[in-house]
Amino acid sequence: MSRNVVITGMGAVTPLGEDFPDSWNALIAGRDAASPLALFDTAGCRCHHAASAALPPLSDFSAKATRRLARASRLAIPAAREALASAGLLDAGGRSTLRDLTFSVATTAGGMTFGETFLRGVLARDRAHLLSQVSRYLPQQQILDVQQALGFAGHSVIIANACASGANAIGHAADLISTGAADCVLAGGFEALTELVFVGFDCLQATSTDRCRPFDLNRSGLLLGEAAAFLVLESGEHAQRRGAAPICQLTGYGHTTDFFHLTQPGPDGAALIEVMRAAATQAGIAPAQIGYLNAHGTATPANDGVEAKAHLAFFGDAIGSTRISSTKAAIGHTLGAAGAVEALFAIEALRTGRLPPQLNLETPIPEIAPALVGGKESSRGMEHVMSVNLGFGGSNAALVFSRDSSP
Amino acid sequence: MKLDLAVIGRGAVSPAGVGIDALLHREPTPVEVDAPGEPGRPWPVLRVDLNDPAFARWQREPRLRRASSMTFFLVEAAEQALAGVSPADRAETGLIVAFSAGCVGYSRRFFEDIVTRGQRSASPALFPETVFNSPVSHIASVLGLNGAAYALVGDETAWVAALRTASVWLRRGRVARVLVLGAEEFDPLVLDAYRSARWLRRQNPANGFLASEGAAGILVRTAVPEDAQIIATARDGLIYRTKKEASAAAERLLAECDPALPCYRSARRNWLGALEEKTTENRTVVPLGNQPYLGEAFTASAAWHTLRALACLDHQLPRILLPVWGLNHQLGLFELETPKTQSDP
Amino acid sequence: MTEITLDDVRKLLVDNCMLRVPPGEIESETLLFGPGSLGLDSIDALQLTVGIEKAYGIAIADPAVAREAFHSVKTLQQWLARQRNQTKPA
Repeated sequence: MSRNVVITGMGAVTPLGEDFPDSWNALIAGRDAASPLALFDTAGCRCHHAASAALPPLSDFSAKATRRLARASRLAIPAAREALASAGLLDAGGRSTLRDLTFSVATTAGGMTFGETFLRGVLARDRAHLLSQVSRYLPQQQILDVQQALGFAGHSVIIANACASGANAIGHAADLISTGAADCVLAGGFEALTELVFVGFDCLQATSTDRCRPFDLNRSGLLLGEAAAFLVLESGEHAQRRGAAPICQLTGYGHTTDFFHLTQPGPDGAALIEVMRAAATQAGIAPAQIGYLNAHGTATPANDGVEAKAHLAFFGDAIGSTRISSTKAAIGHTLGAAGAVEALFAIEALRTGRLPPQLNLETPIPEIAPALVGGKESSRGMEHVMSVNLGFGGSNAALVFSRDSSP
Repeated sequence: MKLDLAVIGRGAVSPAGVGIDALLHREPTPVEVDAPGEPGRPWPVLRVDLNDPAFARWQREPRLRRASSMTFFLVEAAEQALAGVSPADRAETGLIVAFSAGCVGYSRRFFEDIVTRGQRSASPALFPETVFNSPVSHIASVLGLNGAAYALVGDETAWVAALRTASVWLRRGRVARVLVLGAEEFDPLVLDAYRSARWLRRQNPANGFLASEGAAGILVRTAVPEDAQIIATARDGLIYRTKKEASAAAERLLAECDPALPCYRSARRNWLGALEEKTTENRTVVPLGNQPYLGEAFTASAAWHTLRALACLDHQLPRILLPVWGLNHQLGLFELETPKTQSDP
Repeated sequence: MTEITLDDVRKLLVDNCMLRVPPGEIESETLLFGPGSLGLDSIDALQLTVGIEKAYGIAIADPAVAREAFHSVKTLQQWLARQRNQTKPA
């Protein structure tokens, strides 16, 4: 039992733009969104910058209702709405035309900002507003915010596999469709910058005090970001029945766990190689057929070295002909949203033939230097693209998107 | 959705003790704990005894050195459910764990350090362990599972999502069997949270629950006709924000089910208890005998109730309805069956 | 001279690295990293840096210094004692 899975809609809010087209255009133009962080105080941190997003206005929410939303929901609602609109699934009132819509979502911190305020309130014995803080910090509250804002209900699943979650949520949506458990799924991820997470990466010395330089020999750490990105996935028949034009197909999904260490990939990259092979095998393609790879590329010393090794092992001789970049130099590491927003970038590369450049690259890791995308590159006629993510806990996930070949 | 999952292993850690027998029969003793925001007025709480000898072997595991208490609950419940499964078969076993608050103890300690002592005091040892999927990664690694591993999050209904996901993995052929677990750990901070949500009651304590903790799980594979106990179907996605919406969702949920099916009641003492009683009043209620009250531990509770409902299945009760009352997002339910007994003459 | 006892270092290690061994079992010659050691990893190294600053007010900015000091229980004890004496007001 396996039905083909097509993508029919995309939406995103990123540090580069309030919707997906703006984000993509800025990405292709080579802009990066790193800036001094103003959301909370960072006086005791090593790093003081991040890629924060401008929150799109929510015209159908009152000022009071908007204040009650977690920052994460302020990112997720417009991104989900854009995805449904681009799939032709939004009515004139801005509500989903499908009342029963499966929702597969990734996040790592949910509405943590409310959790932080709650703890501060408890420590200060300030009991005002405790309920409103605590009741809205758990991730299911942002799911409910999106469901109620867009007028749909149905099965939902929240995957929290750290930084691979976004790819997992999309891959899981494809599993649901291909096994007949769902016909149409809104899938993606969201993540808002929060002090707890920012300080967490900072105390692990994983954030850079310099620029974020993925796959550079002088890389010194990651840039944290925030975003939300969603796709509409549906079975080929479902799309055809409602006359929706597929953007592409999702043909491969692999996920594994690297048991080496909680926060570091195994030095041989075996789990990452395995996950890329699993996704390519499911797609029925050879590595050489992958035109563009959106790499994880956090720019931490541990990640990128192992990742470069794994890409070299996976692509073999084809490493010279494939094109690779990490878009985290531009939008930062958006954690639970990363796998989703990067999947959108890979799909748009497939659709347009334009390739996101590898920013901030001066002295590339020699093994994959020939594959890293330069400025203003394009590659017409790509048939397949891949997006890979690695996360804490050794979570690895890879997705393959292919040009739609259905009649 | 049809699940057709055969239950082939089970494990539990609860305030009643370690193992299924304790889960079904032993009465846990509450301890008194202060809420940090209201010292001097303690609440009764149900805790897991980490000094139980069953945990000693896990405390010697190098991989679990920094792990949170929830990881120990999980690894013990997981090992019980995997009893008799060979290393080769474990390598074909997927893992899905449903969480509600996750590693709340370390998250509280980590952020409290930042608030009270400054960002420079933030603990690098604690932060990675606060991430939802850290316990999942630890137990997959320690128990030699194959690496297909999801951490799912939500209210009690995340347990329903976890079993639905297991069914999809099995249909997809990703793994041969799936270990599905739910877990919750207690930290005094949650008392402030539950208190502000009015989930705890000093007056009329029977209308408020006891905060609890633990883990439980089942090992499942695709059912075959010979199987003794299966989780036949699952339903979820009935969302609500207000009490009124919850009431309408409950009516709809139960109205869809065969009225002759006996119902297992699980919402005792939580805020949906009255709604559960009302919407199931015309059904036969599964007699729970002397099963003791274990408090509220969200996805762990949902897993405990599933194990207890499975224990009630027999020739007199060959099919049971098990509603899952999510406390802050949605409602769901399972239908449990004993097909073998059903086909008996 | 400010005394840093073996017990002080044991406590520092057990508390910060969440060691599940009785402090008394940690010998002066015990290595912190690598085979036959306490089994610490890169996260422990970072945690010790934070723990030392918290307990003694000594900041370690240079990773090379940390590598040398964090060799064994004894080197850590000696290094802490030296730092403490240097930072003590005259």
